[in-house]
Amino acid sequence: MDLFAFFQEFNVNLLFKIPLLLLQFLFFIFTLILLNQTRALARIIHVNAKSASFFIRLLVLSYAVAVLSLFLISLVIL
Amino acid sequence: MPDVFTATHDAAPKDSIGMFSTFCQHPEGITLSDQEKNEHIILFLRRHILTTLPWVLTTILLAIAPPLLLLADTVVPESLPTIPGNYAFVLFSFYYLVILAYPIMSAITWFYNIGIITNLRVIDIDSHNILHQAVASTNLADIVDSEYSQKGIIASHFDYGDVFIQTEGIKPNFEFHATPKPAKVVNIIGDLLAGRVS
Repeated sequence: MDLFAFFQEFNVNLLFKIPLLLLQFLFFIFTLILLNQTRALARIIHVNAKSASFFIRLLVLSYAVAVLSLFLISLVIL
Repeated sequence: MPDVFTATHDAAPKDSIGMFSTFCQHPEGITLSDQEKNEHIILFLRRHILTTLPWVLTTILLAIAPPLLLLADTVVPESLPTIPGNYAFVLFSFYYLVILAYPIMSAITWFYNIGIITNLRVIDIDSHNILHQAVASTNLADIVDSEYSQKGIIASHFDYGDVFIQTEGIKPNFEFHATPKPAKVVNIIGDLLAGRVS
């Protein structure tokens, strides 16, 4: 295989696109860990909805959805 | 001779826990997963609200950094490299999502860093980061001593400090960091040990 020719044809955009998408995917996994941790902590101590326990879980869930949405949008537009 | 007045849990005034509650005596609306029937929560503690200031300020600084860079680019043209529109959108959005993760993570860590004192035991819930959580509990009978320390002008002005609870033998000691009203906390623990609070 002619490596020189391969790199000549190689789309330079991919050099940015693949790491960026990979980073976003890893970040999505991180948000899932965050979501799981919030659930685990809420199981140990139950604080009622008025005191933001529910709000924090909702916030983390929305955040995970936002990260996933950005990943999907990036897949489409990049 | 019958008791004229007996301090019971029901007679004690109850505080409802709010989002930013850091010190609550006889809190309402909070239960432990392994709470016993005769167990009442006497004190609910979190770190003082001022301890959230560093990450709030850091987040604000990081959030205003890109607009400042863009402003610099308008003052000094072509000081920033040109990026295609779709990449700029993704990078910009991704940057703000990463920035947003920091306050969310810090808020969760602050929210679930809780110290609880019940009529039966002391519980310390520590959430250091998203991968590490620790829950320690000890019976009141195992507590030997409790003390507190306040370091610095800010801590003494806003009345918060570290509470140390020493337990018997090889059992772990408990530390509630940056607790509001540490003197009162130590006083309540002392009263519990002496049997003055039920």
